[in-house]
Amino acid sequence: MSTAIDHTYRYPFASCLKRQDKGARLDLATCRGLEEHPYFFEGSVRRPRHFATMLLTLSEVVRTHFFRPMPPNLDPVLTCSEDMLRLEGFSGCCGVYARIDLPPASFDGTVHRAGTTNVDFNEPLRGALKRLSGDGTVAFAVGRDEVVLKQDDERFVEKKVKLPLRWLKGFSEVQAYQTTLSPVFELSAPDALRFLRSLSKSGRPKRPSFVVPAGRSLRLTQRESAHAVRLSGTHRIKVLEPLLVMARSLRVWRDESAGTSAWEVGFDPGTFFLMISPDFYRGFSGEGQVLTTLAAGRGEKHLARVRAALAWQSAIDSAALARELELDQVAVDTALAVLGTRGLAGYDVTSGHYFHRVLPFDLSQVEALQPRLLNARRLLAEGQVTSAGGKDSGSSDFIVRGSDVEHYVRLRPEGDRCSCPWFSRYRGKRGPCKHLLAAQFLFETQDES
Amino acid sequence: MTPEELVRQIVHGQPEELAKALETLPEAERRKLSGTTAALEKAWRSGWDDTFVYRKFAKEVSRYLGRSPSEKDLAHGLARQNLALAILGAGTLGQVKHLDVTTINRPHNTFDALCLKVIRDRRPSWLSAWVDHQLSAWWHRVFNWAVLRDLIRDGVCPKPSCDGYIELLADSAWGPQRGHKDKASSLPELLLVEPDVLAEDIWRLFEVETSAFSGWRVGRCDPRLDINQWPVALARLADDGHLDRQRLLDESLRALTRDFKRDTLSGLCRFHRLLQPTADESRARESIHLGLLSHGNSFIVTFALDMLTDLERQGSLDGRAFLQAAAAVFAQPTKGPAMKCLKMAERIAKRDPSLRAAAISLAIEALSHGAAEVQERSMKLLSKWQEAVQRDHKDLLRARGEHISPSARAEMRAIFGEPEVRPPPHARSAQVPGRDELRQRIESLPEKERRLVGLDDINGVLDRPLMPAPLAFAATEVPILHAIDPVEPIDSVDDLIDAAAQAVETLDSAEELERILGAISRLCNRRPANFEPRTAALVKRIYEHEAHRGLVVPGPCGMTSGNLLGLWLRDRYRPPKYWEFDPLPTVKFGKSASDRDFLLPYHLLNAPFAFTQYRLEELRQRVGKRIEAPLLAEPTHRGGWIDPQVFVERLLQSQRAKVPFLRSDFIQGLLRLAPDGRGNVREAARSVAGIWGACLGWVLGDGGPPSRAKTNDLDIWIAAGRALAPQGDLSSAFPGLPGGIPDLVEPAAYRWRAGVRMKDGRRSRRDIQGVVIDPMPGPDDSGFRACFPETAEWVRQSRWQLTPAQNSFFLARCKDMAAVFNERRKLTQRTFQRLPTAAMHFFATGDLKAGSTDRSYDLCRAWSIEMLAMVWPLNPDSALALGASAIGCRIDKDPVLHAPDHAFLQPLFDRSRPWSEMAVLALCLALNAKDGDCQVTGIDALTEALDDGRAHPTGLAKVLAALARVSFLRANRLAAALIQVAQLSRNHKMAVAIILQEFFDRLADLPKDAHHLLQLLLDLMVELEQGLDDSTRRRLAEVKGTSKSAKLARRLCALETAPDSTVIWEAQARAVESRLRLAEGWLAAR
Repeated sequence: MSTAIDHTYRYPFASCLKRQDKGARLDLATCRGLEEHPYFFEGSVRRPRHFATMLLTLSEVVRTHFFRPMPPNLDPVLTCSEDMLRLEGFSGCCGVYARIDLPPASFDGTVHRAGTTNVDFNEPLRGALKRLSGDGTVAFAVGRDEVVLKQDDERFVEKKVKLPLRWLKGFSEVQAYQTTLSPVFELSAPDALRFLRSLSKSGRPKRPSFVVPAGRSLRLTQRESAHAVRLSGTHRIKVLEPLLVMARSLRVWRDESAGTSAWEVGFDPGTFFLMISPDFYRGFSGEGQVLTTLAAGRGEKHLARVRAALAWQSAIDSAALARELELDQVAVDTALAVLGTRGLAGYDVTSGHYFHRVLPFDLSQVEALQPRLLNARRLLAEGQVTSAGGKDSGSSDFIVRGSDVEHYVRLRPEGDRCSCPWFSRYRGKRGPCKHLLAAQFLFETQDES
Repeated sequence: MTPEELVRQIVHGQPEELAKALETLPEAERRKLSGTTAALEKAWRSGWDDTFVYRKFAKEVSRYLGRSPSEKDLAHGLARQNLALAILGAGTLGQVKHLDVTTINRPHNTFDALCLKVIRDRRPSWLSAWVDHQLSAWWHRVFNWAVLRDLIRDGVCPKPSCDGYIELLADSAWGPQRGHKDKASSLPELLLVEPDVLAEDIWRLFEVETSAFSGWRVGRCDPRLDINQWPVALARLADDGHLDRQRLLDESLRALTRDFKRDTLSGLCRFHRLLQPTADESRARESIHLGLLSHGNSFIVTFALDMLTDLERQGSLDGRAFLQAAAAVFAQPTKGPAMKCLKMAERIAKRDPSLRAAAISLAIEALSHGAAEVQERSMKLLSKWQEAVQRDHKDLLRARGEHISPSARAEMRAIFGEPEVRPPPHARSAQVPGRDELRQRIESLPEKERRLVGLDDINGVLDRPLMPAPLAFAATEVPILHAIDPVEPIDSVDDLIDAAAQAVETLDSAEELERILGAISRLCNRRPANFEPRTAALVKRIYEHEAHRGLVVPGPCGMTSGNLLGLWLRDRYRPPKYWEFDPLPTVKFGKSASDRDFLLPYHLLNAPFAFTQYRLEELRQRVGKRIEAPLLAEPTHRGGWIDPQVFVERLLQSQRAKVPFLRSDFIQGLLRLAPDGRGNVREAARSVAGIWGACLGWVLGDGGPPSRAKTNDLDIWIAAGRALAPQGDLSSAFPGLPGGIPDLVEPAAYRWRAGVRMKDGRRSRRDIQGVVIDPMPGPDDSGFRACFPETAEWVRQSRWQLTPAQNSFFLARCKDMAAVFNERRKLTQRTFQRLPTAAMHFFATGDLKAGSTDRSYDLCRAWSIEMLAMVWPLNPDSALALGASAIGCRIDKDPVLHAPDHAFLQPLFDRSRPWSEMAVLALCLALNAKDGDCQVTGIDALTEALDDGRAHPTGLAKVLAALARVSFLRANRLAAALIQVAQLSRNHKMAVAIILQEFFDRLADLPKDAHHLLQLLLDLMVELEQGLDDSTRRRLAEVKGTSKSAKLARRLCALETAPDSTVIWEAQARAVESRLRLAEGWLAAR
């Protein structure tokens, strides 16, 4: 299987920020979505400087590979709905996810239609955004009216990139990892800025560190404690520095068991949300916490109905949706989680709801890209999994044939275990190994029979 | 030509004949032959077989000729050349992409000339695609510029459009590889004869990242003289009118906005400067320069500011446009551009007062910059323009209040009123205890505890803004276990298998290894029904693990651990395959009769690890016999501590089971014995039989030293003595043993010095000499040299080279060490295995030399380093001294995974004892280290130790000043670390302020970069509402001049102490409270 797909961003014009008589005009070029070049929004920005800095930071994330010096040329994804404009991006290393949430209070204008699209980011636009002052009004448009497009004599902009499948997979699945986040601390923007500025650029720690409160601000420590937030690769959160000069607050979220953390910069109005993987050399695509859900096929049953009910909602009320579809709310939540892993829904941890969006990429290969799941099914099909007895009160032992050696799998209510190196190394923090998944399949099959 | 003829020509013909034969061949006939060349090419590509014969190629040839070529036919290399010519003459694009030819560039090479002839004769349709393919592989280009240009000029190949073509053009400037026939011609001369290159290709040098502008430096030599450098050549061509100068100016600026590497961008800046744009030319490009102010690279922003400054000086700058665009400059983390920008704003506002409002907005923007210097400069401008500050500005200013440093905030308060500072959302407002409450608590302490925690001067502590006196107790004087987390033992085989499986992949700490060892010792004979299948994968990993991580790794400790695990799991052990190639060297010395028996094994050079290896080996032997018994030395508490009661219970349990004690286990147990309740277990300990009971009795205070110890038992008695008196002199207990060996019978007395070479008053990064620590200043090595000249010479010459002081120490004491067991002529590994306290000092620091990149395996693992400090928790100074050396020699090095020096700092977190000088030295070096892991761990340790009083400002200031005196201190790194510590609480602020004041008191000359520390001190003193101590004030008043340090010193001297400051009282009260908590904890534990 190829590890990357060829993808072409084809924009009808280059996104630009132009000076006008009174202020400036920001035109974001769109590509792909329900139409080839959708026209979503026309209006003006209320806090141009804030908006520009958010866009720049998002652009910084998508054009950075935080692990190796390999600048990727990727563009953010914009989702437009009646009551929220969202821009999302994913770093080239697949370890940093960023999202801008802009509520209606951020704009004056008209939403022409809802949908998801790529938006063009280019060097001249970045330069112009950096120079944008807070004075004057800034007109803002996402896409262009078809009539105007035809009249304009602008050249199409094409960017050919190789999209790694692991990037697509990580971008889709990162949504599922947000549901397990919980807030840890919140502090004012200046105090947060002080913390970010204290992080050394050159001699940054190689080991995972932890962030803990220190006085009014935060500090880095290598001592794990109850309320510490794990942070590996301090340079990944340094991208927030320009935002905090003008922001209101910083809220830090964490998933204690997985080691992921999220950094939510609050503005008046709007938020910038940055989520980072447990280690800077490891992207979200290698995580496997959702595998158990996918493996069991939970959610598949009602997937089509739930998907059909999605209509670009900026916050999907799963309880209301469950009532509407006459389903159990858990079933709806599970279906939404599966849709999330397939790039068909995003999750907003601040509101605690999924939102509808369809990543504008060819996602057909992503759905099949779960090597551990595929390998587990292969092990089962080849009869490599055998019961080792000890089945009582939800516990069971299995022997799974690995390469040159047999692995011993113990399924226990207090936690499953396997004797393979993957499990020993990560202790389940990166999801179950293929041997555990295969044993779980067999266990459930035996249970049903 | 038939395929058979072609094959015959390839195998038996001459290249010239083949080229001649291909000369007039029609393209259709060539295509017919391409199948043959493809098969031969594929067979050739499959290479040699095991006997270095091209067997597949020979087989393919035999298909056409009916017989295989002889080895001789293929040996002379002509077949390879002929095959290449045949492929060029008849092959397809796919075949030429695999062509086994590295170059066809050599002008006098016959084969190269023939290749070109074949290409010219054929003019293949794939040539353009092949050229593109070759040019994209920059590391392996068949063509050079001259050859390619010849082909293009002759119409054989169209001009390539790929970036590689421009890269080739850029590389062609480098003479020796230029490939031009006329090597005497300069680059401009060569370009002038290529009109199309001059007209078109040259401009693409600004669009494609090439070597043309990178690595080029103005001023290294006279650039005008080096005409073969691209920037100089282009400038010359522009001067002579061959290139459009205006376009060069535009393109060089436009290229700055491209995604080029830093080196290329700085080369482009220098090129633009080399063109020396006139005032008019710069004015025409003012908007581009303004745009560059928002660039991400600070040197480009500086470049743009320089160009705009020139315009401003000429009076032609649009001031308003500049003031609007300049706000982006403050996004740069470096302060240089920001300061330059503020200076320009000041000049613009002075020249045109109508722009003052815009300049004020810009100055307010500057307050968000991270550097205090920029903020202060901005505050100065604002106070200067105070009258023009409008209400909007004031609102903005107040909102910026939280962003600015305390010292600048004080100025702001004086000019514009109180800044807006919101309370922190997670702040806890704990009640500050009152003076009377604290006095009462201090008075209720027994006199001894009051003295030990430094609170005997009650009035001094409570009435004057001072830190309490340093803690004054030894580790054996007070109970400690109540403040240390217990270690949970592994108590089932299931958990042991899981823990071992995890440790083989990743071992978190030395404590985890101890837990596993303890469990193996207790459970080694238990085999549940599913033991074999459950451990099959683990056994495989131990035997075949090739990744160097986790527990089973190369190195004495890792290998012995693997050995032990293997025996426990399968009753037998075979080492992993890769160990067979990595045997441990044993070096023998001495050719003369007197030297013959003197052995210096590898392990001597890693003596600190020898004892741990000995322990593992003894345990392995017992596990091999499947004897279950408690591991005496298994820690009950973190840091390696053992509760005496548990230790005695383990001894008695083993005694009842008639399991003999392991010697190393007993020694290790004694050295880890916590002071808590030693007296309470005397009675029970009397049941321990033999020499073991006698030694234990001495440690517990129930008996005395040996009246006449057997030589063989000396190791146990010495361990007992060191457990009883970690820092005591045991000479009277062991009168026969040699003195002068640190931590044997005499305690180590450390003397250290840091070394750095200076050049022109500056320290060079490469010349760090590290920190040399001598644990026992004493005799030199002359006696040893006389006795063992050859060994001394070997040590001098070996790769384990020592610094002179270490060499002296090492050599002088080896002989004495051997004498402990009457091994006068025999110093063996066993000597070091049995005397762990002394062996810790016998470390050949070849690994720890500054600049050394090699490390022994045991120093590359955090867990094995942690084991060092756990050998003797009662006195970890020897491990800390080793750590100080390790950190010192890598002080300016980036963190690397194979040098986990942070692990040396683990003893600093042990709350059982105040910090010794070695602890303070290791900490100070860690705070100065570039290694982020070390620095952050150091900050953690200092934060905790200042909180509970283990670290005292006076001791820290003393060591820091000693490091500063030899220019070993990096004030910027130290300041950054101390800022982290100070922000934690007012108590920490006060402690850091005192450290800095005492530090400056002790220095005759301030370090060049002292302003970092002075700025921090200023901020702290403002926040604490304090003036300087009299002695510090006097010292800083002596600093004259206009340097940053002098200015800050003057500001510090002007500070006054606020009367009845609640801020300083809170800091003081917290410090006293932490001491009280310590003493009250002891009393409760007793």
